[in-house]
Amino acid sequence: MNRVREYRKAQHLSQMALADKIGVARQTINLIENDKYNPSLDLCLNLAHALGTDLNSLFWDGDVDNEEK
Amino acid sequence: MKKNKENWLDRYMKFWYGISGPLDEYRQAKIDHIGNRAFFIAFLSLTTLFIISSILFANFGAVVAYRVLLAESFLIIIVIDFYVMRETRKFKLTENEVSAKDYPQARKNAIKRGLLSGVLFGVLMFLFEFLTNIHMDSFELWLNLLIAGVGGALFFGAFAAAMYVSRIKVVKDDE
Repeated sequence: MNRVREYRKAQHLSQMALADKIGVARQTINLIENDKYNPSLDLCLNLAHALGTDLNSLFWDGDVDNEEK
Repeated sequence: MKKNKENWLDRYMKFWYGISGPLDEYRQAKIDHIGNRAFFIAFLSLTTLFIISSILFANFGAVVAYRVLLAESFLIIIVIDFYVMRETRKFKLTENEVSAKDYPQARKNAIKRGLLSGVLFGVLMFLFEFLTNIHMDSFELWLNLLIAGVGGALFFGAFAAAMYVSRIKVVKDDE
């Protein structure tokens, strides 16, 4: 599960505002947040940039680190 | 960060598929998928149509073959149209999402667009009637043209306007 919704709400952005910011449809943002669509790397980078964070924070959770231990 | 400006082909594809708003990667992938399948439906149908028409021509003459060709071509167009409409609705590609405050303006634009589509349809029907009935005497021809052009424009315009308005979806801030 990605953290797009979490970061978006932290920025007080609606789905439509975020969609307008990066030039996609609101529907696409909704699908990404609900894990129903895997965005391209390009779109992931645009999302991370728009939300003021990086790819790791947005799309990777802590589970990978726990598994490696 | 925003994608490049849409070219005329992107705009035409958006019009054809009934998409409002940006043609982003998700929508592009979906219409590629739908278009691919529509192509195969068309290809197989047209191949079958060709074979049937050739057999009819060989056995019953050109008139029969031509009538069957026309009827089946029209049927193929309708089938593909319905397929594309069904798929675009299934993936919600045709929804025109607006906020509550933008709804009145969006509704106005949708009605305007529908009426414009009606005018365009009326002009095309006018031309079609003219070209297919050119042998008729002048009064009958002009009457047919009037009915086809004006009637077509009114009916199609009203239908198109209703369809565009029905596609408007008011979304809450965070749905």
